[in-house]
Amino acid sequence: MKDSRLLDRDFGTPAARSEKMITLTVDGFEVSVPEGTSVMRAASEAGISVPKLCATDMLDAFGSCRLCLVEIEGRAGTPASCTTPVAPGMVVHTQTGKLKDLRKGVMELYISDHPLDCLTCAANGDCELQDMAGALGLRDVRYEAVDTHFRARNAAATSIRSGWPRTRATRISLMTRRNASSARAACAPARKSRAPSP
Amino acid sequence: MAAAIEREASARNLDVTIIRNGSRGMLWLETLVEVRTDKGRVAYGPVKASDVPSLFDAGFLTGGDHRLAHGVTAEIPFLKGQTRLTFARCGVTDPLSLEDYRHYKGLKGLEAAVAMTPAEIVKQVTDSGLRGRGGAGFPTGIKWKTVADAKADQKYIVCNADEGDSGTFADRMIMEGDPFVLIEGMAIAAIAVGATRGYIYTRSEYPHAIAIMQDAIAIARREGILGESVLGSSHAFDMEVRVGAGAYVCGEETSLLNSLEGKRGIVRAKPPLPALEGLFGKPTVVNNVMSLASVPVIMDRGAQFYRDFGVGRSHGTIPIQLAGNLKHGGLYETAFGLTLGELVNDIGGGTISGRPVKAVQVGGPLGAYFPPALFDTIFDYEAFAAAGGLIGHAGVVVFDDTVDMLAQARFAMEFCAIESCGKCTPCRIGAVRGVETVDRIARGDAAAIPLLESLCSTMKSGSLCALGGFTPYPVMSALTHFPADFDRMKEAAE
Repeated sequence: MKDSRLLDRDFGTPAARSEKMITLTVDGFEVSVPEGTSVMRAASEAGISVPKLCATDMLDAFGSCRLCLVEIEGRAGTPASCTTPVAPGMVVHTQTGKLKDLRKGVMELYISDHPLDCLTCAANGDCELQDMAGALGLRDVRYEAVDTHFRARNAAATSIRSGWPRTRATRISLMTRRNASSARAACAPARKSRAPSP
Repeated sequence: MAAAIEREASARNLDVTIIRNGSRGMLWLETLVEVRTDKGRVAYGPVKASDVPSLFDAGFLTGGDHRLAHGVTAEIPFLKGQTRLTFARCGVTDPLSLEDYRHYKGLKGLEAAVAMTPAEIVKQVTDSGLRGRGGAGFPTGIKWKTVADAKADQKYIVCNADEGDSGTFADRMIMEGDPFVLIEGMAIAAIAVGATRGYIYTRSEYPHAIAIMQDAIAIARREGILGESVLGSSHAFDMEVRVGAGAYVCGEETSLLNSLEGKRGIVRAKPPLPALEGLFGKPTVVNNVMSLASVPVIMDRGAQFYRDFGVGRSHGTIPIQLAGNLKHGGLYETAFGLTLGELVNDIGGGTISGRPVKAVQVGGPLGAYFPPALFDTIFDYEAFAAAGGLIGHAGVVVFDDTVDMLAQARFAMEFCAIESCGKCTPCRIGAVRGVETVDRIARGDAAAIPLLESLCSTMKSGSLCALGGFTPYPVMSALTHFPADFDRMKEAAE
């Protein structure tokens, strides 16, 4: 198995410790991974990257960003690949028309709540949000966003029902997760550190 | 009311015993006063304190005639047409009298369960066809089997009594009117899966239900129904009531578990299933009040008895809560299989406003709106799913022709925005965008309609739990069945 400590590559979820190997099919490729591995990591092991924002292999899966949704034959709906463990004989599709629309729809929601200040942003060119928007082919935002977290913050939260308290809470939770990642990365010198969090 | 009757009786030197029982569920007749006579219990309602002297004048203590008299309670058509299994005692007994409870066949189910092996109990519940009454309709027996088969040093029974759906009151009625049936159901579940602790998670808006449940638990503990030895058996089980802080999403089972653990009530990803890693990471049965309260009758009368009620894959009875603009609102327990039209027009008696029905929302704030054209839809899990809706907790809310369905769609999005736990993007941001997009449609921006449809499909498939996932039901059903309300340009032109 590839050792993530030597690669600047994020497998999405931590490695499973089990000795028992499970074989499944991801986008037509057969892959064997230890029991308890997530579908996202199994795909990653097979060289297939599933879009993601909230997942990192330094933390347990959280399942909040909803970009890593996949389709699994015989299962209803579109489960998140980061929180779904592999099962023997599972047939996973990570790239379908339905998933493309769904991910783009979710990404559009993210960007609708974002200041769109890329050109003056310090993270320009080194930004996961930007990367994902590009990867998912998002070009336009159709929404006319009124109630965004940044606008509400500037307007000193005139409406208690504005999007910002919730959005901020999630951002903080994401930032805490990121900070936790950097802290752990700092404690593990063998690990090549990634780009600093914004 | 009780005080007014007592006062009047003592003024007239009459000897009356007043028992405060739960509600019969005929809410348009509340406050309902029943008098035990030779003919049976005779009903008077809705009684106000000012009516009391005239009731005495009419001789209501012997069933005398009065403008508020309705004859023998059991013969009132609304009650007569019901099949009360889960609510058999509700409104009949003194809620906190264990003697009454036993007299009306209470504890028979638990006594039967104590004499059986856990596997036999699970099998009986599975065979009865009972499905989760909270909304998802998952077979209760299969859930119990998963917990029973899990190996752990501690297991839990959690009763979801966080009844937050609009127009629902069945859980509250059972907790206030027949609390022992819930305790009995939870004790049976505990024996079946090997759990020793139970929690009832309810809402702070239900102070009476909380107080009555707590008293009932204390009585059950004193009488050996709960404690080290349930009814003298080798099974130990005890329980307590926990009160939520008012978030709608805490009625979602994983969010509820987080809240119960003292954490912020945000939704957990499944798997792991709560049945394997639930409360404090231990195998946990999370069942709705209605599911647990239906278990005693199944254990008492047998799986086949219960299974024979209902249609298709929906077995047994369902306590339907009729609310909104209805002449006869209340709780109607019946076998699955009535049509929506029968419920609204025949049983509910049509609108109280006298205007025609325009829409009926079934299944709480996340349920679909049905137009009268779909009144032939049969009330069962599958038929409602096929019609693009859900029965949820079986709340039925009726609206007359003055309702603006665009406003209702906006309300659904606004509700989701307020109640979202904020964990997943489609629900957290999508609901806020949804309100704005409905506002655009209201301003006459027809281009926003396909955008709303697209947003709904993202929310439906992309959300983590049913809050974001089902909010599209009321929105899309309003848009599909009532397109005229969304055509604001035309309206403005006219």
